[in-house]
Formats: sequence, structure tokens, C-alpha cells
Amino acid sequence: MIKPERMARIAIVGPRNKLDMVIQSLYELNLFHLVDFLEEDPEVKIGTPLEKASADSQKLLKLRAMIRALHLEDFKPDRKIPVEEIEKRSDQLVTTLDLEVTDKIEDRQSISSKVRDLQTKNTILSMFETLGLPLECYSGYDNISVFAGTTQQPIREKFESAIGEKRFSRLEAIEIPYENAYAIAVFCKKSLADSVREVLNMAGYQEIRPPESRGSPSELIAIYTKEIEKLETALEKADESIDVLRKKYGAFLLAAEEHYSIEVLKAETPLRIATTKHSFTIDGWVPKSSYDELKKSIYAAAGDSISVEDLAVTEAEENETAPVKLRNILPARPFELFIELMSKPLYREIDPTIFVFTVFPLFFGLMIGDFGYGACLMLAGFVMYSKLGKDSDGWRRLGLIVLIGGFFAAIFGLFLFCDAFGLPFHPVHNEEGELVLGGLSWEAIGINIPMEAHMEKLVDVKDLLAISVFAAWIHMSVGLGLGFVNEMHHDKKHATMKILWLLILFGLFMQILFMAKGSELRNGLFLAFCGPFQSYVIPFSGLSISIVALILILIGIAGFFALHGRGAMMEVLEILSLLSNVISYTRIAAIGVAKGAMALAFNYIVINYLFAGGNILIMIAGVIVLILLQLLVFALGSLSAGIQALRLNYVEFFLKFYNGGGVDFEPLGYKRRFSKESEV
Amino acid sequence: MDPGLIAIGAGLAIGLAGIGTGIAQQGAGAAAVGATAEDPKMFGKGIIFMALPETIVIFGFVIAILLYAGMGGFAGG
Repeated sequence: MIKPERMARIAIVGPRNKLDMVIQSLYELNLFHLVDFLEEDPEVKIGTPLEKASADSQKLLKLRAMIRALHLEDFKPDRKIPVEEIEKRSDQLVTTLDLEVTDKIEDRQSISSKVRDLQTKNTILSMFETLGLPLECYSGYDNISVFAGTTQQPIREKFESAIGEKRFSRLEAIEIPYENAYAIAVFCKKSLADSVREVLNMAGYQEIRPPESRGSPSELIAIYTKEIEKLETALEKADESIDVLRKKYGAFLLAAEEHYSIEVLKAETPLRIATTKHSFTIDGWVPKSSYDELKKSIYAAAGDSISVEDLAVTEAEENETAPVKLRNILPARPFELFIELMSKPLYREIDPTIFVFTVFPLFFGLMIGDFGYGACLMLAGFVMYSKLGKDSDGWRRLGLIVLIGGFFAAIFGLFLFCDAFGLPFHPVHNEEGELVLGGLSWEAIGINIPMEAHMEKLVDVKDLLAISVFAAWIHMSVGLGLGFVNEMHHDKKHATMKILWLLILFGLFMQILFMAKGSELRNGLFLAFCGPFQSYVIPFSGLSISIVALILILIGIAGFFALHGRGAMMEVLEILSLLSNVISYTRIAAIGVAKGAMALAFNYIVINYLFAGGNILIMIAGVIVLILLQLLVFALGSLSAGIQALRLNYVEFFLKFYNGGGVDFEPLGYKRRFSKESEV
Repeated sequence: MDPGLIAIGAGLAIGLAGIGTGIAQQGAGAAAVGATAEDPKMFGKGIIFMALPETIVIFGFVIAILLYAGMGGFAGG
């Protein structure tokens, strides 16, 4: 059966002085899933980190600080640094470079903080510049209080209405519009200060303290601006010298950080391992197929004093605790992405990747069903795979999925629907022989492709519906079958339920075939699946109810009652949701038709208009509009086809059998991106 | 019956079903995006909950097609 990789639980036991060698070799193998040791007792304790751990972590700390300070996160190094070089140069380089980097960064920071300071001063000064008084006017009085700042509302009126009150008669107020508010200065007798502040507060007063200098604000602004300019050139210089450091040491710093991260990871592994005074025990899982390889390499690395034993756990324990590693044939592997997005299967469950791999491209291809878009999708998939996929596994796999999906779309477009970019190869006739959309086609614009369509999206909608219903039956039957296999050894009752559901599903499928009319494909399916029973019908208000379908469904219902007693009513209601699942597959037809119609409508509008006028400008504009509209259809169509094809797998298919929630197989290991090990 | 009325019926069937799907998806979609932002592993489950209401508009589509075929929209009927 197509289950995840079979695992063996093993124990590696040996003397403590060999521990680092064993760890080293496990990391190089990248095959061993460590099970953390948690329960200490007086004899067996959690291990202590290897000796070099603390020195390496210190180095790592400095390296990471430098990488952050130099903003190396997005730095793309042009070469990989060998591990020997890192080990040889790192001690000395880290110390000297640390000083240099700190110096330069501090320089830069002090300059930029000065610039910020001056900029703040200038902002304040610009308010006083608006008021127009020299700065010395705002201070140095014995009996006068000064208010300067901004208000949200004009204040002059407020004082004027209040000026009737005698106490406000001796008061000087300036008010000038300034940045959506008002710059104001008020001079008054000290005794009036409190009342004035009250009036100001009502107008939304915000105090701005005048700078402690003399002279005109504009002059000061000019001086500061010049200073800022000077500092900015200094800042540029500082940036340049930091950039020099980045270029010179970036590759080394990233490689060293990576190398020491790996070293620390290895050195801290004993924290997950059981040790006694003189020995250690490592517990974990290894794929059964790689057990011998692991055994050999550990003996080779650490000698005969190590013992590697298969613990031969029971099947029940294996099912319960083993980590899950998917194994699929090469072309299906990209589709593991969809399984991981959902959740890994349980160890005892069937891995559905291979089914998604067979079905997803078919559904996707049917929904797009266009040679032009299919070819574009293949191109897009290739770009995703080769460009974006360089650094990201997800993009690489998605690219391959799009490539495969695009291939099927192109095949269906070329041989089944015979259209490209929404335009059919030849004029389309409806069932009465009339031309659809004036016979718009590649042939009509002078390109003759010798392929005859077997199905027209806009005319043969019923055939597409028949395909959808047929796909629904096949797909969900496989799902229920897988459910049966999954439950067979686990829960007999659940397994029987799956069989009953299979009967009901076939009954529903038959009944739909009985009710549907007017499509050749349906007629073919009808003859194949219902032919012998076609005369056993009960007429019911214009519909024919198939007796065989009815019997199948009734057997299913009877089975529910036999298994569940009264609780079966809930299951009976579920038949409705199974029916809605079947109907749900008609989205294959729906997306295909909707996308095809949209593309054809855009083509119809633009192409007819293009050749009608004969004006060259209109033609150019028309071509641009056409390309934009095609892009829109392409993007919308691919996105919705992709999501809908995925949904049919996730919802209608998976829910028939899938549990998920398996533990990820995470072998001890590492990946080097910036550093490289010698090939010896 | 007047084919115009049937066509209006078909339009209403898919249009109203679309609105229904939209209303159902606004809640599910927002919650799914939130959950995925917190834990990318929720993506698959998010898509399921997000995609569930889409069946409503598919029902609308099927009814619209049946009505359209019933009035002879694909000719022959």
C-alpha cells in the first residue's frame, strides 16, 4: 500500500568519549529522527553540551550582532566559503572586525542623530520664521508673559470677543496660518497669564519653546541647513565605508554564522540524549530502508565500541509514535506540498499524494482547457521553478505543479476543446447550426489549425456537466475506498460505513444519470452504467426514479440503522451533503464555461472593433487593451481553477478518508547555503 | 412560459447564490487569513473552510443551467 516510509526505532549505545563522533556522523547522514530524552532518574541524566559549545556560541553572538549591524540579511554572497577557512580565520577576524564594525556603526549613528537633531530644530524654527519676530523677543521680560506655539482655531477673535472685558485690553497677539493650524504668539501682563492660557487652551494650544539663541529665525535655518548638508555628505561617506565592509566580509560573516550555528546545534545535541557517568543512549527513528547504511556509517565513524540495535517495537507502537516521511515517485513529489499545507498523514494512513498528483492536473486542465493559456502556464511554472525556486523549496514545487497543470490544460485545449486564448480554432455552430458570435475564430482571422473540437465550451455545457458528475463519482468512490482501507484494521464499523456510502454514492450517480437529459456523453454514461436497468423506473411527477438506485440507497440506510441504531438519522441526513458534494464537482464545468465565455466576450468586443475602423491608432490601442484583458482572464482563470481543483481534493476527496496530524520526520542534519565542506 | 422571464430567473439564481456565497465567505475568509497569519500550518484547513460556502454558488450555477437549457438556451433543449 501507498503508506508513508516505514520506520524502525533504534537505540545507539556507547561510551561517552565517543559521543561527539556519533553525533557528527548522525548529522552527516541526515537520516535519524531523534526522540528527546525527558525522564531523568538518579542514574540516567540528560547529557551536557559538548565542550566547544560555549566558545562557539560566544562567537555566534558576535557574528549575529555584526550581521544585523551591517544589514547582511538580504546580502547575496558571490562565493561559498570553505569550512577550513572559516575555522582558521574566524578567531582573529571576529575580534578585529567586531571593533571595526562597532566603530563605523557608532560613527554613523552619531552623525545621523546630529542630523535628526538639527532637523527638529529647523522644524521648530520654521514656526518662528512664520511669526517673523527675532528670537530675542520671546524672552528676557520682567513683567510680561510670552506664549508661543500653535493652535487649531484662530485666537484673535476669541480675544476680541473677550476684550470687552477690561482685563484683556492690554495684550498683543499675533496669529498667522501655519501648516493646517495657526502659529501664534501672545504677549501679556504676567498677572493675566492664567486667563490667557485658558483662552488659548480652548483653541487647542500646543506650546513650542523658542530656541535659546538670538537673531532672525530664517538666518538660523539657513545655517542649520548648511550644516545638515555637510553632515549628510559625511553620512554618505560613512555608508560607503560600511558598504566596503559589507562587500569585503559579507560572504565570510554569513558563512561563519552558518557554520557556527551548525556547530552549536551539534554541540547542544547531548541535551536531548540520555547519559550515565560513562555511557550514552540515543533513541530515535530511522527509515527501515536506511537502517543498514546508518549502522555502517556509525561503526565506521566511532568504532566497534558502539552498539546500534533495532528495538523492534510492536506495530501498534509504531503506528502510534513513528514520525511520518512521505515517499512518492519522482513526478508526484511536488504535490507533497499540498499534503503538507493540509497536514501530514498519520503513520498508519495512506499518503494521498499520488491521488492528488493524478487528479489535480486533470481537473485543473479541464477547467482551463485552452492551448494558449496552458502554454503560458507552463512557461510561468518554469520561471517559478528556475528563478523563484532557487532559494525556496515551496516555489520550486509550486512551479512544477503549475508546469504539470499547464501541460494538461494545453493538451485539453489542443485535442478536446481546440481553442487558444479563448478563441476557438474554427467557427462554432450551436445545435441548430447557427454561427455563435458571428463565427469568430482563429480561422476567421486567417490562421487555420487542422484540429477539430470534440467539445465546445459554450455549446456543450451539458457534456461538461456530465464529465463533472462522472468525475465526482470516480473521485469520491476512490476516496471512500481509501477510507475503507484506512479503517479496515483500525475500526471495522467505520470501514463498513465506507462501503455503505459507496453504495449510496453509486445510487445517487445512477439517479442523476436518469434525470439528466440531452447530452451525448450522458447518454453514453447512461448506457454503460444504467443500461440494463433502464426500464425499472417509477414515474414521479415528471421524473423517473430508478428502482435500482433507490434500492442501493435504501440498502445503505438500512445498513446505517443496523450499525448505529437510532443514531442513524444523522447519517441519513448526511446523504444530502453527499449529494451536494456531487453537485459541487460541477464547478469543473462552471469555471471552464465562465472563463471561456469571459475570454471569448473580450475577444469578440476588441477584435471586431479592431478591424472595423482601419485606423492605425485604434488598432494599436486595441491590441494593448486586448493584451491587458487576456492577462486578466489568464490570471483570474488560473487562480480560480487552481483553488477550485485544490478544494475538490481537500474537501470532497480528503474528508472521505483523511485524518492527518502525523508527526513530521525531522532528521538530524543541516543545509549549508553560504559555507561548504571540503570534499575529502 | 416567456423565455425572457426564465432568463431573468436563471440570472437571479446565480446572482443571489453568489451574494450568499460572498456573505458566507466574508467571515470564513477573514478568520482563515487571521489563523494562517498566526500559524502557516492552518493554510490547508483555512482553504477548506473558505471554500465550503462556494458550493452555494455552484448550486446557483446548476439551477441557472437547468433553467437556461429548459428554455432552449443551448438550442434543442
